[in-house]
Amino acid sequence: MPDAKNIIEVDARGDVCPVPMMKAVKAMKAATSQDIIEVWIDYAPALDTIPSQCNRLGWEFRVEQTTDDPEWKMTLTKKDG
Amino acid sequence: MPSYANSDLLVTADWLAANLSNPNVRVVDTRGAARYAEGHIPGATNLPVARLDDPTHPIRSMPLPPERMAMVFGNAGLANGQTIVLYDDGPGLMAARLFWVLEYYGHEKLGILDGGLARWLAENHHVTRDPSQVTASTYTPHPHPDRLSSSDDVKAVLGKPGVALLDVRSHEEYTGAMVQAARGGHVPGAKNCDWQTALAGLNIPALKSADELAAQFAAAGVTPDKQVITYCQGGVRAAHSYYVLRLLGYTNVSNYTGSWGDWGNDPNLPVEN
Repeated sequence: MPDAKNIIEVDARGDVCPVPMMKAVKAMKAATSQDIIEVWIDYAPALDTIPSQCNRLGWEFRVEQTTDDPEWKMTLTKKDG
Repeated sequence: MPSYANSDLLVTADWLAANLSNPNVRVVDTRGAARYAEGHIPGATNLPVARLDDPTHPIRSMPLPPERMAMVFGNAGLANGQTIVLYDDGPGLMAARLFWVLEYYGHEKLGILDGGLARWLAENHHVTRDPSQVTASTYTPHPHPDRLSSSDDVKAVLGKPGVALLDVRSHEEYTGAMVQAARGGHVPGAKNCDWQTALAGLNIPALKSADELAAQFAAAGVTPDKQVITYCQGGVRAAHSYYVLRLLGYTNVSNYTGSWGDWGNDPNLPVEN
């Protein structure tokens, strides 16, 4: 059975640049490979700025739009290796 | 009240409190829905700034086109001719974004609450959790294209006298030490003046005096006789600086809303580090 992952929620809804990216970076730097980071945003440019930091820090990301509103959940997981 | 040239663009908490029942005044809370629900100025409409962006446009921070923006404004109860007062938690970033969008679409009577909700509460005014009753209205946008700049507009003025490009990101972003696009650095010839340097405090944010602000901008080559284009990463911090320049009386200002998210990702555009 794989180890259970710890989910870290980062709520950046209502935040605008550069705060969503900075919150995501802070979470990634504090997290371990056992953690999954869920970042909630409603600021569209962060859909570009957070992935660029994921690439820099060795994290993968997945984006879902969970409602009809401009709101997204970005799920970040540490890359293997 | 500091002697800004366009001081009517900055609204005091006392003035707003005295005008909450004024049918010609519309108060808009620019924060997200959750923050609005936690407490807002009585009667304020909620219009999160995320709703202003066109999800179909390749530039993420491009405002909705006129006909769709008319619906957003109308559903929020905004009407041409109203005095619209905008606020956020305090720093003014979100309020300034809507300020710029409204000016872009031709609204003339606008103001931002000085110090936002932080100042409102510090001066013992009340908030409510009751959602405001909003009657949808008809809004007719009148676009002012000169208030929004594209990468082509910026490219056309590179190196030209009488033009000031103002990069309002952090110093790290400006130099390329922090990279948020395919490339780091700044638009050639742009000067750096972090948007936060317009604020005198962060607990209850307050804008610096007109003299201090004018001196800061002048040190970056930004003077009222020039065409000024502000930019940041996604056009929000740039909107704040646009607002401050308008408050100071600048008339020839635009927001390059695509900003570094647009310029930095286009390999055909020049970059300076």
